[in-house]
Amino acid sequence: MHAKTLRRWLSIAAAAFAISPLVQAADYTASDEITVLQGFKPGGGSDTLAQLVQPRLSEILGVDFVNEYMPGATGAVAWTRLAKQSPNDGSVVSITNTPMLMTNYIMNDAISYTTDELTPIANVVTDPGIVVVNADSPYQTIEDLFDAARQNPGTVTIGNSGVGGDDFFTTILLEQATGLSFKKVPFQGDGPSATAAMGGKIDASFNNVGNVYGQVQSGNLRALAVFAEERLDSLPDVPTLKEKGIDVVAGSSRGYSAPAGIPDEARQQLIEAFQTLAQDPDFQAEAKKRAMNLDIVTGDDYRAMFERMESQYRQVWDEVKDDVAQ
Amino acid sequence: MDMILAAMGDAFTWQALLAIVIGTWAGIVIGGLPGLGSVVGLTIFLPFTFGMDVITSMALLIGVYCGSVYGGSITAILINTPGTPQSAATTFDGYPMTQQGRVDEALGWATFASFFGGVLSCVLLIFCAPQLAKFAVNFGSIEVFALVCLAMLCIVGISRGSLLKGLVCGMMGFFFSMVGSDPITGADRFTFGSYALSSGLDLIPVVVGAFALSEVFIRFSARDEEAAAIPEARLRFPSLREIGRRLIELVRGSFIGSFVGALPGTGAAAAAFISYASAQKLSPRRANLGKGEPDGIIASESSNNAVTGSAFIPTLALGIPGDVVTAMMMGAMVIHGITPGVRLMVDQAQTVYALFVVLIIVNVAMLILSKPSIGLFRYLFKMPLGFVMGGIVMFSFIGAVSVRGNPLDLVVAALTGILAYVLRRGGYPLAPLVIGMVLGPALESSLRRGLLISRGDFLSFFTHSGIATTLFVLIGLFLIWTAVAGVLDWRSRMAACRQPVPSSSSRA
Amino acid sequence: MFASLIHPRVLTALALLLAGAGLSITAWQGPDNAMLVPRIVLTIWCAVALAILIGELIRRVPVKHATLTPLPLLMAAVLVAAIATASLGFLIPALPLVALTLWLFRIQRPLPLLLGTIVIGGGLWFLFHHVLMIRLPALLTNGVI
Repeated sequence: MHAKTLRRWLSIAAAAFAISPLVQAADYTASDEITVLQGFKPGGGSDTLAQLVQPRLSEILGVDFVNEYMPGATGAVAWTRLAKQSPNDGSVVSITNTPMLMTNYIMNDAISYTTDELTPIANVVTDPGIVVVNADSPYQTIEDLFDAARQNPGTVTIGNSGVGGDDFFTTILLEQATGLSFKKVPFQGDGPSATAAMGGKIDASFNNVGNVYGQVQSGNLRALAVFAEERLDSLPDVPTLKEKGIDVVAGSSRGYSAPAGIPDEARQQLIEAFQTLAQDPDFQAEAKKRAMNLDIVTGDDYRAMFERMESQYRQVWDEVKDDVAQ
Repeated sequence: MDMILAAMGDAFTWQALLAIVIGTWAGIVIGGLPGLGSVVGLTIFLPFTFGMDVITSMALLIGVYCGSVYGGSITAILINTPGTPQSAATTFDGYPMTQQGRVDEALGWATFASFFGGVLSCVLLIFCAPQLAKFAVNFGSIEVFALVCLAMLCIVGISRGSLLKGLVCGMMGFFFSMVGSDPITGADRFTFGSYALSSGLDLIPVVVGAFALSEVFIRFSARDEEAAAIPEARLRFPSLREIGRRLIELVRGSFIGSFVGALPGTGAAAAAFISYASAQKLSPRRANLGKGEPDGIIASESSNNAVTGSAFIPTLALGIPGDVVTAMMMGAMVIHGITPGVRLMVDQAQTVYALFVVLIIVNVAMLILSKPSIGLFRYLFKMPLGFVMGGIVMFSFIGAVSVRGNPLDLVVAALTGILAYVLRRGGYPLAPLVIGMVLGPALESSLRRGLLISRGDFLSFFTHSGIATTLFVLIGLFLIWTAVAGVLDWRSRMAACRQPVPSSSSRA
Repeated sequence: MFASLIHPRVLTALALLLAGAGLSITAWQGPDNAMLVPRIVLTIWCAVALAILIGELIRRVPVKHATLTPLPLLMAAVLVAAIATASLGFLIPALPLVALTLWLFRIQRPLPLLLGTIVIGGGLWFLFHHVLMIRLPALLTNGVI
């Protein structure tokens, strides 16, 4: 049996079980199936999103989704394929991770795609940045941490998920906004960075809420601040940096984009599908269960988000690149 | 108690048992094929699980994972080509045993040690997960640095042949691991302007080239001779008496594997080398290690399979996956609506217990399925040599390129294969190359991260924590011991020289 | 004396020394922080390679009589196929490589050679690329071959 067919059949079956009252909406006009290019391995964060979103979109649009995994170069393999070599008839989309989508080519001239070659459809989830410290840490509030950095510039150790990752850029954004300087300790991923904070090996870890929420809840880590627009429902006692007068909003987001120049009708149908999805209480409940922070931003607003990030991160990189790379 | 019974009920459904049988068997075969390892196996099977329920899908994936770690030993023993990097240390004694006509015994020990390590780590996972997780959290960069230093020191003598040649290969492996952008500063190192190189050299293409492709080249020269033929794969389990005699080796390997597996960012290949290094120092039969001694196979296989259980400790207890493989498993759990983390043991205890039961059944299934799987390899290797070698080349290519979809990895594999052939012809041992590549990055990043954390003060490493101090004291004792042993050895050799009796002195 | 200098073992050691020295130059030109460990590693590499070279020169293992074998052909084929995959996709370079490997390993009757190439080369490619969906490098952008 052909695995692709089998898999599609299984996912349709699963979807049919999950959503009992079958609501048949207007069929997607552009094609019978949509190929989703995934820049990461099966089971990664993008795939988790895909498995949550696509069965439901499939119901709304009356179209099958087929995942094609092409991991490599932090997603750049898939995004280059999307921008440069995919038909722009609405039959191919990709899961786009920001700010990785932009920092990839901002930091590396060899990556040739740009966001201008994409049609942003919708952002779905945003995992806001968060500052966590060990439960026994002397830093009770974010001000304590800043004070320590002010007294001994460049000695407070801040873990991040790796050079060029979102937390790395967040640290620099914060340094630029406050004039402080930290000692940045890069780890291989968010997990090791959080573990190091838990073991008291570093003063603080700049991480993402989804990765450390459980540890904050159980009291192994203390959250000092979040890099979000408003306080989070899940962590109502943790202040945002904005309310502290520091305008740094950052996180790691995932959404869907198509190649540039897809037919307007297809774009509109996709955007409406995501707007319908945003209202689905079952979808909201499932997302909550997976500790995903929904942040649905569609169409032109999603493009504006791309543009804002692009200019912000390009500016940061221009200032620091001489210190980082040769 | 009700909970455990209910969990057993979840695990003993026909769907879950079928998934375990299919997953484990497929895992053994995938692990045994050179180039294809745990990650490729999981990549193949993960998308199939989206339509299944949680326990069935986890049963399938755990089966593939454990099976692939064990399967790597089969080809390591039969044709000196580890099916996965985790089994590289198995070739040290496994292949010499094959050359001595003890294939059945070698495969028997590899199978039993894998089973033993897997089960022991399950038991530790069930009873000590929170404690081990806590310990792992306190094991930071500086402690990892001390541990890897100790392992590297023990392992220096691993290559029989020439010590110098082993050392230069170790440095070469270490160097391979440094190509690409520097994990601490992001600066490009040895990429010579190539973008494709900036993501670094992956371990799999290098292992595929150094072992699989170079083995094809080596056998090519002898293709018309009897020596190139692959011996028939048979399996003979060790008797209870033999197991009793080596029980301490099994237990030590399993504990080392369980412990290293719980640390973030180390993995099964490193565990196997560290365990082999400990056997090198502590096994009563250490003089025979590297010449076809079952203790070597036990050290490697019990520890790499012990990692399969304990790698779940950080995932389940902290919600933080320890390596690529458990990261994929955690992804699968999240897709099925289970979010691993501190609350998991409380909120979804039944699912967690069902996973433990599954893990134990998988290890039993591995023991039972070892015979038919080895039978399959016997059948494959009975084919004319040309087909076997053509297949190895093809699987090497598929394995090398599918790790991360980078065609440059094929060139890396091909060049490493040619280099490895030249080195083997010149009497250079290849194992240190892989050891350097596995332990090198752990050593470098832990050292430099440790320096960042201690604000550039290397001396404070020694007093950083109780664990670190203990490990550094062990390193000191080890150096003193080696020096004293060296002097004693030298004196006895001098004494032997004065007497006309010819005696073969053994090198430590 | 000259004969012993072109002994393969001496040449291997010499090549290792030169490679280590060449890479050392790169390491010393790079940034201090990132190149700290590479400098240490490459220095040890060079020192050890020099010791090996001296050892090989002193020991002078007798040169085995060189025979002409097609092994370099097989190595070259593996390397060329690896390089070609980036531009031609996986299948097209793999087929001639498998055929050549079979031929050199004495599978030379037309039927087994053809069947072997199709099954090992094409079959495994089809299995992984199309059935198991482990995407291998492709020639066409739609990924069919």
